[in-house]
Amino acid sequence: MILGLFGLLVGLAGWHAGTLWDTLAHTLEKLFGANVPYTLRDLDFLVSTLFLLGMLAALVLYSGLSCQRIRQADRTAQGPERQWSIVKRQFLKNRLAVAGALIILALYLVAFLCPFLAPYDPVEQGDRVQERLLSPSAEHLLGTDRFARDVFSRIIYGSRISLLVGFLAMGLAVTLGTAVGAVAGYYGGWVDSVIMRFVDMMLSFPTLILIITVIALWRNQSIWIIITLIGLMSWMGVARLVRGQFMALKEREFFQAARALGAGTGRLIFQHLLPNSLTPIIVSATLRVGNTILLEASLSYLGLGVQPPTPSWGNIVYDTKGNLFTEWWMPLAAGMAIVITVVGYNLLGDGLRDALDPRLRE
Amino acid sequence: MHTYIIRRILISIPLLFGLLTINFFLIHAAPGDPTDIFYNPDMDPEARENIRRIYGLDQPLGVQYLKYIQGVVLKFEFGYSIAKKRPVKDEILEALPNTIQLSALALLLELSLGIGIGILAAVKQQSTFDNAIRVTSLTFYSMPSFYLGLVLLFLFAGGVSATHWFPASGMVDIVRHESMSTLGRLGDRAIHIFLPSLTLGIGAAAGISRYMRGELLEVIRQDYMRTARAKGLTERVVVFKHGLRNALMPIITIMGLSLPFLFSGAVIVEQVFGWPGMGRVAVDAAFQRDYSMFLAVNLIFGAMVVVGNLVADILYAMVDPRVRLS
Amino acid sequence: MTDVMDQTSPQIEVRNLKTYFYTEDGVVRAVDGLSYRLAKGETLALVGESGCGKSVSALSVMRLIASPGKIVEGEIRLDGLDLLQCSETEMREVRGNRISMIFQEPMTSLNPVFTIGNQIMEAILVHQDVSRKEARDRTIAMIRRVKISAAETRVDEYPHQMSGGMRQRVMIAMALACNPEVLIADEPTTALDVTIQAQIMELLAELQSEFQMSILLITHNLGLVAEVSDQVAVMYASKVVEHTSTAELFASPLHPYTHGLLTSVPTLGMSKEQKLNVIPGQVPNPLHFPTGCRFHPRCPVAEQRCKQEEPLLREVKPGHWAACHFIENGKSPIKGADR
Repeated sequence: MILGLFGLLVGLAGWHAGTLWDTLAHTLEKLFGANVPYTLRDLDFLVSTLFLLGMLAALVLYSGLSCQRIRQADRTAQGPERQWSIVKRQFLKNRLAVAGALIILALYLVAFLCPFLAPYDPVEQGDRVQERLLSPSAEHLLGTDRFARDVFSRIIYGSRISLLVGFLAMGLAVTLGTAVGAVAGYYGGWVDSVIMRFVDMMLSFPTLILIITVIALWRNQSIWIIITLIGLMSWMGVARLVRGQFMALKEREFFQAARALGAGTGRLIFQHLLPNSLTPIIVSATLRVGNTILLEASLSYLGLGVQPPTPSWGNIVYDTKGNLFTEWWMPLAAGMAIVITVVGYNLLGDGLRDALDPRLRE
Repeated sequence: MHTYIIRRILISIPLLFGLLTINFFLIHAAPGDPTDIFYNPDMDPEARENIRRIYGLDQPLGVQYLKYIQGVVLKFEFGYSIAKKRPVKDEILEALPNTIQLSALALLLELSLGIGIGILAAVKQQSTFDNAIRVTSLTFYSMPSFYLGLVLLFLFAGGVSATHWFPASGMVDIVRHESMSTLGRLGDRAIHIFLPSLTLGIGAAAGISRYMRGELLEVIRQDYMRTARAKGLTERVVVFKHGLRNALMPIITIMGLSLPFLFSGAVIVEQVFGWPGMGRVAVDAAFQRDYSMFLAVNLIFGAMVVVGNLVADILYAMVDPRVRLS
Repeated sequence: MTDVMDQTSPQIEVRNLKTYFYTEDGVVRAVDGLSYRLAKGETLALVGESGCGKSVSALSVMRLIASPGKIVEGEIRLDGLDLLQCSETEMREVRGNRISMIFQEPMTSLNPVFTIGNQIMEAILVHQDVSRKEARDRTIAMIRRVKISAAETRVDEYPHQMSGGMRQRVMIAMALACNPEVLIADEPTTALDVTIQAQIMELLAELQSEFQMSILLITHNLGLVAEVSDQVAVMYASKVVEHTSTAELFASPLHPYTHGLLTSVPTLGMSKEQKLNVIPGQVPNPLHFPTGCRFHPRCPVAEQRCKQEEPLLREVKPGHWAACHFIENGKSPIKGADR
């Protein structure tokens, strides 16, 4: 419990540091001119990711500790450490799941190592007359777009946006969804009814359309708005899941025993209900990242998402779709990047689900 | 069953109202003004006020809301599109049927392909066929709809040298459609709707096939399947008669739930293929800050989803005897 | 009551049946050498704790074992026909027709989306060349036979509209619709209330004599065994440890396990001070059976020999088979086991 809170604090601190660093990088650039290497800005992403990893690690630790405690109480002497090694073993046996994990790992490495992997600056425009719309060559692996920017570099840097948006939006969605679902599931009764009606209503909106509406109205297309919006549209599924879990768990003996022993609401939720619901939440979260990435890409494709010159896979397709028939490698390569990433997350999510809950396997 | 249906319908009504309300206040809570589209720094503030009065925007929000509700519910009037300079209703009446055509066809595809493949994968579980199907459907499921659309366009509509088998955009051949025979017209429409509905349908089908496979596998493990086998029925009858009937029921509900995603996908696909439907209208409205259009688009899509889910629930009630006879 | 091991040709005869499951974690020998014979109209009770292999043996007879399970050895002869050598098509003609099975959970064993009439009719239509109308008439008659009132209306009802006891009757009706020679009843009353239990068993007894069926009754309820069966086979850890007529088993149980079972159940006439016996330990993990005699870790009279040498099932008294090293002159090694 304390560990979890600590992890959260570390994470928040990291996040703020990240945005601060960005400002710092900008200021430094202004002071020293354009000679500041791009890597300063990379630290922004690094810190954000550390925050997320820290959160995740805290979550995993928390769940691991809690699960051990729960399972010790629930079953007879089955050696709690064996639970995780069983899960690990199952997961590793599943080749597709491992492939998914490797894909995601590779993606994160690419995102981290952007400045080393991308031969050019993704926003730097070359000679607009001579160098636009070049075909793939040794110098420009995927050619240049109509602003004479190197497409390959743009795609490499695009990974950062996709991962950032995907993960953060998912984080928001999962946090919000868990909170709502927990409240609905725990209290039940009319609270539950009202909340679920609201969830139903939110689910009735085709996600994309609502986001388009809000973005267009608010005219502010910063990446944070997009992340928030996507997160706000994705929490419903998690809420339903958590509510269902809580309601089922409330019927179990261990919960009723704890309640009979006089445990307070907070304790009941955080020590008993939440840890046992973590499995489907983790699976759902992983699968959801895929969806959020797709959403961001679709928005950018419509021109309503991340704005150029910042490269996002979606807006690379947007920029280059007019040239589909002639310079087809550009939109198709960017799109392929999206597909591979989302496939990776889905494989990982499926693999996690199969490994964590044997009942869900065949 | 009747109580169930009536209850579902009764729940849908406040849902729709909630949609209307949230819509309205969301849009009016946005910064900026509907008349911004006319904004000219040299403009006389009075002229601006005039415009606002013409469009009824000078009234207090509550009054606007009531007027809006009145208009929508009683007269199906959605107001006036400031950007397109025509009543919103006309715009919608033109675009909606096109979207419905596309979505309906895609839904058909989603069902037939999705269910069929799901069944196959379940029956041939653990074989290489099953794994191949799973990976393929996962790939399609992970594709943004625009990507699939672009790939198909590229392959079949002109990118790869002479593969102009299908047209690249539009609903009909603008030039020649009118002069075609009825059959020709049908063919023209068919050829134009083929790629977009395929794009929309495949992605959705991939999703459904995953669920179908899971459901059927779950059902196959049930005790009553063992009983059926013990009666001496062939495996085929056991799976297709006893198993499928049970497995298909939740799919009905899932189909209803997939509607919002179908419509979201339609927005994208319409962009890719230049299909003149509600999606295109929505995106145009986004770029032009067309308030009344937004309201209408959100409402229509939301209503379609609610109605779709209602239909799905009613179908389910009819099919599941446990609900039907309670 | 017929003699055990009647030498006239039995209705159904199982010889050395072995069914193994080849799982990721190893080979599970669910049934490891089961043999019995049932004459026409006889009832054999297969007794044992959960996991001893009784249900698997029943499913093996029906050849309803799915991978990773496999019937690796044995013969199952139904009136002379070896079922393990049949083709699947031939086997399908046997299932539901010559051998029927009813299961433990009537709640989940009936398909919720079809009417009970439909399900019973299906059994008839699959095996008999009759019109739908005829099948329906027979179904209604069957429903009446299993003592469900208002059969004409009930026939179109769904399983969820019926109680557990009624559903089990429906299962029986479905199983008996084609007049089978053998009925396998896998714990038919375990999931039901005690009063319903009695009714169901009574119904089965009636139908048995009417149809002249052999019944293989699988149960862990010794009281039931005493009431309805002619023969008993006691199974432990996938093997038969004792096999004889019912009367003989209850009069003089020879195997220590049997004795333990019998004394762990309260009987009429016991005084309040008498303690119930407890067999110490747990049923062994089918992946790792104990060496030698599989019961030895829990046996009160076990010795070094039992760990090394597996006792064979042998006829220690006429008509009485047991698998223990210490049975001499037809006497149990447990003191006071004979009553």
